[in-house]
Amino acid sequence: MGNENRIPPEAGRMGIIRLLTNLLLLQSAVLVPGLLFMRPPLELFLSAAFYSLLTVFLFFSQRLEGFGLFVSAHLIAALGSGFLLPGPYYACFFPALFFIWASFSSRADGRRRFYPSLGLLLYPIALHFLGKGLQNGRIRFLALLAEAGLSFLYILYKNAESLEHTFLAARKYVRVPYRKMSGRNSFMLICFMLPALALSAILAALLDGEALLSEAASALFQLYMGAVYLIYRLLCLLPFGSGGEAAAPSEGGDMTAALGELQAENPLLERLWLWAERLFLLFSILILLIVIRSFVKSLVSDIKAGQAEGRDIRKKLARKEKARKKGTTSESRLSFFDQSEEARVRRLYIRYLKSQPGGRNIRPSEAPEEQLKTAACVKGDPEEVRAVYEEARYGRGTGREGLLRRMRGGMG
Amino acid sequence: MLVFFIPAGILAMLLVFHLVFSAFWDKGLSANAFFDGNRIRAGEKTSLLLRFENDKRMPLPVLILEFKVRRGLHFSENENITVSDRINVIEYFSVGSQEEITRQSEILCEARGVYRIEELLVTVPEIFSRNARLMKIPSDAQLTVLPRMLQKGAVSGINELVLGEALSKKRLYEDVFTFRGIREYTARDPLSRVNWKASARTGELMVNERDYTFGQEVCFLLNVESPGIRYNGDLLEDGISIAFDAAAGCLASRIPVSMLTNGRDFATGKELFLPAGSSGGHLAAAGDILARIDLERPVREFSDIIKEMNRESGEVSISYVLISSAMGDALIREAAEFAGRRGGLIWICPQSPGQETKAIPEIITFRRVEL
Repeated sequence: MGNENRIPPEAGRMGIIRLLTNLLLLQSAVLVPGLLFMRPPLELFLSAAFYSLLTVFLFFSQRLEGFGLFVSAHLIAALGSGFLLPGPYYACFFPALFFIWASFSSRADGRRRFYPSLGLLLYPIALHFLGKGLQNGRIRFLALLAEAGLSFLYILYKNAESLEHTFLAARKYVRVPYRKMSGRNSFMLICFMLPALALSAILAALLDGEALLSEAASALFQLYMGAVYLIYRLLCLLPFGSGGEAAAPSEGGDMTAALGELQAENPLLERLWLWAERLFLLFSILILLIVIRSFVKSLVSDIKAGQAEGRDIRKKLARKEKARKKGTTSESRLSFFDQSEEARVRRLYIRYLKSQPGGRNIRPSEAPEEQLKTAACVKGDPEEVRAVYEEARYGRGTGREGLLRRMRGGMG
Repeated sequence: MLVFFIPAGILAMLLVFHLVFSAFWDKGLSANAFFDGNRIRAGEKTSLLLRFENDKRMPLPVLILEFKVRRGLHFSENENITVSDRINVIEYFSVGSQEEITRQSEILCEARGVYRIEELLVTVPEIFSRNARLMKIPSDAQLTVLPRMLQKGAVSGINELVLGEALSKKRLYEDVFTFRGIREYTARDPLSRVNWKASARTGELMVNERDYTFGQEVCFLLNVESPGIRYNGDLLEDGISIAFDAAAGCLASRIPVSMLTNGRDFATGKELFLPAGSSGGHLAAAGDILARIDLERPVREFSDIIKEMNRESGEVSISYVLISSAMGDALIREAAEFAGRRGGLIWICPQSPGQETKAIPEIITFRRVEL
């Protein structure tokens, strides 16, 4: 019994956060030398896309049981990279070294390496100084993006880790309201993240507003052009596409020149690159199916867990209840947000008095009998209205159902 | 230097969030546990209600409640309990803002006793770290599980025996609150009865005459000594159940009941005693006494208690019922003397099938009971 077979949803979320952290680190490691040596955007984009594949490989290779199998997988990946990597190898040397170190140290550390941590937040600061020293604005912008991304990933990770710790401890118990816990946790996270995002945006606008906007526009344009070209190439692989070689888009002369140069140098490389793109497509579909399956399974588990939560009796504490529990004896103000039946009855009573001929002359300090006399009621049943109001205002205990209906009846 | 300010700002916000959470997490937070009913018989079911109240705007995504209770209760969903010397129960909750949650658990009261939940431990994990906040809330939840109900046939025979004995011992007593008349003084009249005014008027000593009333009482002597080295532990529980059901029978017939036992209180360790009474709440008091007996504690030999009673003079109008599975020679001897001094003794002896019974003097009305 219990939930021993249930994987806490936060485990999946933490895995995604680690994956994003690795992506962010490796992407920046790839992009820095490229930005430094001003490589064409296409090569940069393809390199970054390829290293994304390697990051996913890193994620799944950790799950290989045998160490021999683990090493073999890396050798195959290294050989394949040697054939498939576009552009000059020096642009990829440091990222490759970084990747191998990350993979092996992650396995040695129990597969928990490169989770967002405070120490990792120093990496973008180092990039910032590198860019400042080399007077390269794009590297500094990259450092800023990496810092912002890692900071928010750190927050998300700490939150997911806390919830996972709780869920793992709760696995052997029943009647654990996982859905409500996740939902309320997300609410608290949003309550934190919104002000954090707002603060970041305000700081960005105040300190480096214009420069950030222009850098962001330039980066987005390059990303867009690179994505368009990659999608174009993928579409050419489909049966209804032209297949084989494909024409590059007219915009971005650097891309065309780079690709043409590549094809001229090595036709074998071109054929292998086509196969790599097909594998990339298949891999992407596989990843998508796994994600959808995990998402659906997580939803079903949450629904099943949520059904057990129906056994708890939940009740909202009204403000009046709160005042009663505090033992407040003085008159409490009628809150605008109080929508309980007693509050609505009180509002109707006030409306009733004000609709009477002497309604303008009533004072809050008067007792209900005095208020009715002052109002000189001519409509409805004043005694019934007074009785219902007093029951709502001062009454305690059971037998107070239907006050609203009685009040409306008394008002006529 | 935005690259510094963004992480610094986010970390500062994290610190502020942590401080706000630390300051307000326990405001308006209360928990309570209570059983559905105060008294129940062993073998019956009842409910345990756990209630949480979060009377503030800040929700608490995760809230863990733990408490301990002594063994003897069976929770219907055992996955949330661990058993050591006590039963440890853990329940998980998620409370919204200004919300009250009540969770009900069905429990089977397997064993007689008094079950208390003295403290609730509330744990609230923090949202951005693995740390947790703790709060201890005292609780006064208590459930008294009375001795289990016996088979109908077994108890009726015992009740008839006890009631018959009680009725035969009815005695006439003078009722000092009534006045019947005045007569002349005789040598047997005490001076306290002399009516001096009447004596002055008549010139001779005159005494008041009182009317009469009946007096009867049943005193149960419950011995919880173990009958031997190897014995069925249920025999002692059977004896306790017999004492309760027989007392209920007497009280239903409006016969006052008292109880004396060598059983010790689970909390204080003292021997338990119930003075005579026949009011509406006396059966509940008898049940409480019997529920509080802790059979794990060492007890005095019952023969010593009877020996002390033999040294005292006692009312012959009280019917004594000894309930004892143990049949030591000293106990038989003292019980026989007791029966001679007090005008009789009923001995009800719960035994296992096939267990040997010693010879009991005829002055004692002996009944062997196999349940």
